[in-house]
Amino acid sequence: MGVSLPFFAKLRVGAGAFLALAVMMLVGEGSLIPCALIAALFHELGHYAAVRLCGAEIRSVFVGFTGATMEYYGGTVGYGGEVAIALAGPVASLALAVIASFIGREFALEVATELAGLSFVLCVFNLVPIRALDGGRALGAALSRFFPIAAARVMLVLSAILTLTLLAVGAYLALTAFNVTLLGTAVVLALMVIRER
Amino acid sequence: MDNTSARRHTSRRRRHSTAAPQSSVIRPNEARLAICAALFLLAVLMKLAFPTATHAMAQWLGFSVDYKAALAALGDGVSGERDFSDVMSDVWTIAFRGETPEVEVVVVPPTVEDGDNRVETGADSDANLPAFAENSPQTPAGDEVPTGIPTAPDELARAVIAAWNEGQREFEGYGVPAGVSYDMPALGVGFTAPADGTVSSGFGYRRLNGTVKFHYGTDVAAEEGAPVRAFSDGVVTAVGDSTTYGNYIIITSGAVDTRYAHCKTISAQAGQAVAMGEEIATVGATGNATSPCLHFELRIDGMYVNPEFYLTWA
Repeated sequence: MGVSLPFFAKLRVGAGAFLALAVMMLVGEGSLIPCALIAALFHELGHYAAVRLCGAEIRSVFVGFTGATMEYYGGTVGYGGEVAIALAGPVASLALAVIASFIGREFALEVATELAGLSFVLCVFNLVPIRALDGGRALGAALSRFFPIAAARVMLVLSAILTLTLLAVGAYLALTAFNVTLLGTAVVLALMVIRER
Repeated sequence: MDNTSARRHTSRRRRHSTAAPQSSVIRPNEARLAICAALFLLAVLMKLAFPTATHAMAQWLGFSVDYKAALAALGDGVSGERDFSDVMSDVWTIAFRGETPEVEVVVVPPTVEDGDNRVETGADSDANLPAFAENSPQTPAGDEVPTGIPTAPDELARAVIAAWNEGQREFEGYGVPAGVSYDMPALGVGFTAPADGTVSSGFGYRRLNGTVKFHYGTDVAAEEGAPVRAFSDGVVTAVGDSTTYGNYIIITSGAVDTRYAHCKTISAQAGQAVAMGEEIATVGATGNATSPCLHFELRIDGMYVNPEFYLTWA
């Protein structure tokens, strides 16, 4: 893998990404889409920065229904590096949230405040210790350092329990409060967990 | 992999590509991508062409959540603008219960503080009451929309009322504050716009820094020093200053009271009779105004009504 391809050759956009955008358009405010894209971009840039700091290279970035997946190779990564790369995304999202919120406050820009909220949600969401998410990857890598065999099983069980709990609570809210936000989120999470296999 | 199997693999591929004509070979992922991209474009079109139908569909599916409000609340929590525990309970209510959070609503009409300098007229002010101008447009009986400005069409007033109600829809849960009427009762007097400018903050409920407050008048942004004119013929019943209103003047015309606040200077005096359109003050930013504007309040029989229903500012 000596030749470094230009970025656009490495970016693959799946059909699912357009479906996700369609859902966002119909369900939420369409005006939130640009904010969502900016927040997602920042998140991935966080991952990218950590990848490069470890001396690694991006092989591909696939954007699907559930978000972006980044494949990297080379460099000196190791377990610590994996944890750092996984956590770099949420950290970048948190940084964007803080910056955008202050801009929103100082200049009374509602858009900036909404971006801050979105980025914050992205950060917290990705920290959930489910194996498909950054938090899960970080935890999995950390566990693998000390318990290489048990780590995978622990993460699987943890992911299953958390996802099922969220699905249950989401279903309850959908039935009582007639609100599908949590259920929708839980379904997306379930899809991610299943796909990870 | 040994050579024989590799050769077999390539020959099989060659046979496949010559069997089918080139043009009809569409890879499945390309088809999927095209379909989904088309679906996205369809969603955009639906949202633009049929916004109400799309919203109704989202509501039916259980997705009518004000995500913007929830995210804005979160953003405020991150910047420290609002208390984080407050924010989290709001987010839970909006996003996961689909309800509007109950927030403190200021419903008490702003009152003049005791420490104000206020010059009020005594009971003998009636002697100074001018007779209402003979040629003021008479208000029609019934619920017709009165127009003080002859050129303002009724249709425009109706459009303003409809637009205002639409804007206040998110605050339906708070009800109508005491001392306020959402109606447009007949004024019984001829009237004119008190200042030229654009509305910077309208009458009604508004969201400020995460709390919901009721604005009892209309703020008209104008240049500092711009003239403030009497809304209608009447008598100046009060001139004063307060920390909220700044320099203010109140004119009474029968059942109609008008207050003009945040003024820079006030040229009329308490007890003085003024004519509709006469200059009584200048626009300023006194009191709790953040920039030069006229805060204009209109009361009929003691009830606050929406000045924008009666007037239009450019």
